[in-house]
Amino acid sequence: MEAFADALLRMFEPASMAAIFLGMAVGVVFGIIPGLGSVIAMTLLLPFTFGWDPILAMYVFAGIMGTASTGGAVPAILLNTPGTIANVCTTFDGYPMTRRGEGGRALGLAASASGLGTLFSIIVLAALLPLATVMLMAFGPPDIFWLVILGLLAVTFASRQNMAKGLAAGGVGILIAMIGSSPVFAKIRFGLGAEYLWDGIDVVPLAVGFFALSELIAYTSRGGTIAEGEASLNVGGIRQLLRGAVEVFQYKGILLRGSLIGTITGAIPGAGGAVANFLSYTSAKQASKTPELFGTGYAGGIVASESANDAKDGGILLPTLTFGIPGNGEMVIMMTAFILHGIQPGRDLLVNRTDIVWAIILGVIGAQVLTTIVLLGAGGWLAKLSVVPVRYIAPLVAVLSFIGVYAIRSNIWDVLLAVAAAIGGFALRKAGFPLITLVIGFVLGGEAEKSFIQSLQISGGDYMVFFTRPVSIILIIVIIGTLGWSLRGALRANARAREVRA
Amino acid sequence: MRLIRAIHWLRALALTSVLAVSALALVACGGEEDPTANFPERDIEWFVGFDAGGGFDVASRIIAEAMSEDLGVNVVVRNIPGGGGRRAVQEIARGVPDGYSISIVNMPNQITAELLDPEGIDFNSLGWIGRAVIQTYGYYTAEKNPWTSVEQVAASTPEPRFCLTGLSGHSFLVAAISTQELSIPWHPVTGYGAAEIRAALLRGDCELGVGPIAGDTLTAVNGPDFKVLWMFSDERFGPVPDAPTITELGYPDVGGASLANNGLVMAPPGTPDAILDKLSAALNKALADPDVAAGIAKAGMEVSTQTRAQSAASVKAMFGVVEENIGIVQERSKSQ
Amino acid sequence: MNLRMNRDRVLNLVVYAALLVLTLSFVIGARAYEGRMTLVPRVIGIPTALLLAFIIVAELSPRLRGLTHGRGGAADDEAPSPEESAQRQRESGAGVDAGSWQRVLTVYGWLVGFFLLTLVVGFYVAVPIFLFAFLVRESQVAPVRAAVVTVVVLLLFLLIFDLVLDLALWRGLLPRILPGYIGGGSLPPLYRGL
Repeated sequence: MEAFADALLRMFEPASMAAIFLGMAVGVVFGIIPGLGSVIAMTLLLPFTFGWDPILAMYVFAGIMGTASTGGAVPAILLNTPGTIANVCTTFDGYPMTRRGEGGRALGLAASASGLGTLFSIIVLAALLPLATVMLMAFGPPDIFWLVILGLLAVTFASRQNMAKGLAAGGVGILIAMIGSSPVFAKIRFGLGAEYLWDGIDVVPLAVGFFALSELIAYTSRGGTIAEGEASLNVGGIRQLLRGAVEVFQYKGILLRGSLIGTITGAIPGAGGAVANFLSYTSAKQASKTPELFGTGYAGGIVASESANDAKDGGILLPTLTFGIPGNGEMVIMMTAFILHGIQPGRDLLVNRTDIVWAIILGVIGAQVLTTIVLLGAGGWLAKLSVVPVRYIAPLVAVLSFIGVYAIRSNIWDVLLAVAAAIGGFALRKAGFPLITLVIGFVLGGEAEKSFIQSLQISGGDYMVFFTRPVSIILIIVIIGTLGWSLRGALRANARAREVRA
Repeated sequence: MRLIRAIHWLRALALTSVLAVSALALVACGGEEDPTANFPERDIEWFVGFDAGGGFDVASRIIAEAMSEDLGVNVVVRNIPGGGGRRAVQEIARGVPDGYSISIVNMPNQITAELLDPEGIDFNSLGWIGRAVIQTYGYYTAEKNPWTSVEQVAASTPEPRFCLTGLSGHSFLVAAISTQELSIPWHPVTGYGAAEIRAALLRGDCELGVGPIAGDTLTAVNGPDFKVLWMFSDERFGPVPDAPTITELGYPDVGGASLANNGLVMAPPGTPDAILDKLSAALNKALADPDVAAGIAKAGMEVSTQTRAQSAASVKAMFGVVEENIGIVQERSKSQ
Repeated sequence: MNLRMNRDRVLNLVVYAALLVLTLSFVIGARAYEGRMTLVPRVIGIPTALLLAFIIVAELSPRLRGLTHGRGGAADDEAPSPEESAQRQRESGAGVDAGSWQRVLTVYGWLVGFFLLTLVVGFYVAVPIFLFAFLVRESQVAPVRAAVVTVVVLLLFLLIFDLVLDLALWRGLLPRILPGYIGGGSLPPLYRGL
């Protein structure tokens, strides 16, 4: 507790505040630009922090990781273009609100849902740090496999509106994930002899093509401004923003569920913000008494989406801080920062360098609070973006998307892939396939296969390995329960539809 | 209508000519003179064939910073991940031999990759600048496993499982060759992140790990949960003086230090000697800086310098070691 | 109206067929591998292919069509209102609200053109050319205004990506003209032997 008080005092020193502010500003800007995200921001800043006080460096990195997905909500709401993959579901309700002229309110909702989600997950993180070893021992590859299957199932059943196409999209996503090398196989699969496919398809060009560029095609071909009709005259000033910010508390259930889902999903290696975002949105919709409101510009939808993608921060830090196991790209850079600054993750960090642990925790919270304030302050100005004619916005989005995609791997062919994904994604959407299901299948498919093969390698080919571990058994029960519950829901809905027609 | 088309056409023409004129002007300003005398005149790109954040990446950034000061131009680290470092090798193999693009490369593993799946790269023709870092590899295990000798590990029942990051890369190479030489059963469990292997050892996913004994692995093996079984080095390895070398355990033929991971620095084939000498001098000067060495040690690697000739010779020697073992490496990479 | 609907359905069928071909190529391609490497491509690929085949059949058969177009069995005859269908699309994350196909292809042509230009001349030249050309031709902005916007964006672009972040952006395929900026890019191998 003393360490916490010290850390809190340190945080309010001018240098610390400057570091947090720097991290926040970079995180938000990189979040807003489609394609660029926290990973590239952290990578670029890494060399600059070399030689700094490690605490200050941690503030910067914590600031970036905590805020990129909040920044990503801005274009998601105003332009229907998620700034990061973790903001896709924010577009479902945020954008309709913008078109109604309620962009300010949506930004307010997103800013405060993000802040509260982060706060929740960081508190959970602080509480769980002492229990981390137990959890690590409990979750082996078979358990991870079932967890990923649960995630995939939840995603599939989420597209209940059109389950056949949802399932097909998810399946295609998993198949695309099979391209390239895999850590569990020596040979490259489906590589067509192309060197470009050595490491498979990268998720960033795919997602930028699907979400940013295909949307660009949609609104540019339509013309006009994003906010249409009379409503566009009333984008909403600070009053609308504050209304949104306060309104969050009307959706306590959604907020809590989203934060919880975000935290748990964050702790699963490979899953990350996109999955958290989607699971939270769909489960909020399923549990809602008014599911028909989701997707129409419903405030609860934004709360579900934005609370989860920020709550993943606490979850993802857990395996990193306690075992030095980075769950995603952000954490790989965080680990590198640890190494550069002579910090060893794990027991040593938790026992001897509590100042660092608290710096990260407070850095994430501090940056998030700042972001919320900045978004609320600048939100009115940002919301005006939606009344800027798309003829100005479109070429800028194209330029930024291209640069963002190129910067990930310095490979110009990635830009070509994004351009191809743009028209492919456009056609898929036109034909009624949910792109997000495809992307989630893509993200989780590789993880599912890896943990499956790993389990069999451990057991020497014995399939019983999937059914003997306690955590696995619990997860199997949850999966069966979810299946039953979803089927029951589907049957009921069908019966109701039949009654209505009769 | 025709007028409009004409205007469009004129506009296009104007654009093109502006572009062409500015391009010509730039070429003229550039001028051609002896490229070696004033080298370097602009930023040098230092490729890393992996994502940001790996050991080689961190070491490269530290070295590049020191070299920048010495050379008076920026040495910019660029990550071009692909194929486990192969993309960087290709980029250099096809690069312009002017010394402005160089790369760190993981050896001998790139030789293995080339032998298993040839891309037509002639390693002996590359412009070897020197060696930046090495990593000394060793076997480690959870403290609870009672083994002290190679024979105990080999005879252990059920057969010990090996946790690996994948079926390629340097850890795999060392594991595949050494298990063969030491008659340890081959039972790999793959797909772990480097740090994740320690969690897997504690959880009982596997019994053996192989990797550089440095960085966070070093901290772990000095702690209560893990221990080093043996090191692949010619002499006892400084950071873990209690761990025996594989030679001490009675296996002098396994390869010892030849199984270390080398971070060599190279330039495209045909780079003039004068430029290579300048780069080599700058590299070795940077590596002689104690701060650089300390930073690299923190990142889990050791500074170990070589002259240009030594590096070229060691590449030849690595070819020998890899060619001799390529059969077993190929066979073992197929196991699933 | 009827004609448009038919054209949309033809396009739908093209998309379904493309996905089916893609899926089948994974299933068939998996035969080149052995053991566990074929497991996921088959276990996922075969049901996905069957599902896509079903979607195609359903699209062709009016009775089944409702099953793949939203909840319940509502077929073509019950055309939903535009608002309703937009909402339905959004909920599933599918569907799109765009202009005519001709407009769509025009905009896409701009993207492809921008890529090709970037490939050849690099970002530092392609960005201002694309911006200016797009603003003038596609967005119908007055040339002077477009030039101002282009210059401002280019300056910001240089400031952020070059000076502050030191990102090494693609320089284009031209011979090295301005080292580090224009020309001299080395194309990453796309295909063996290329």
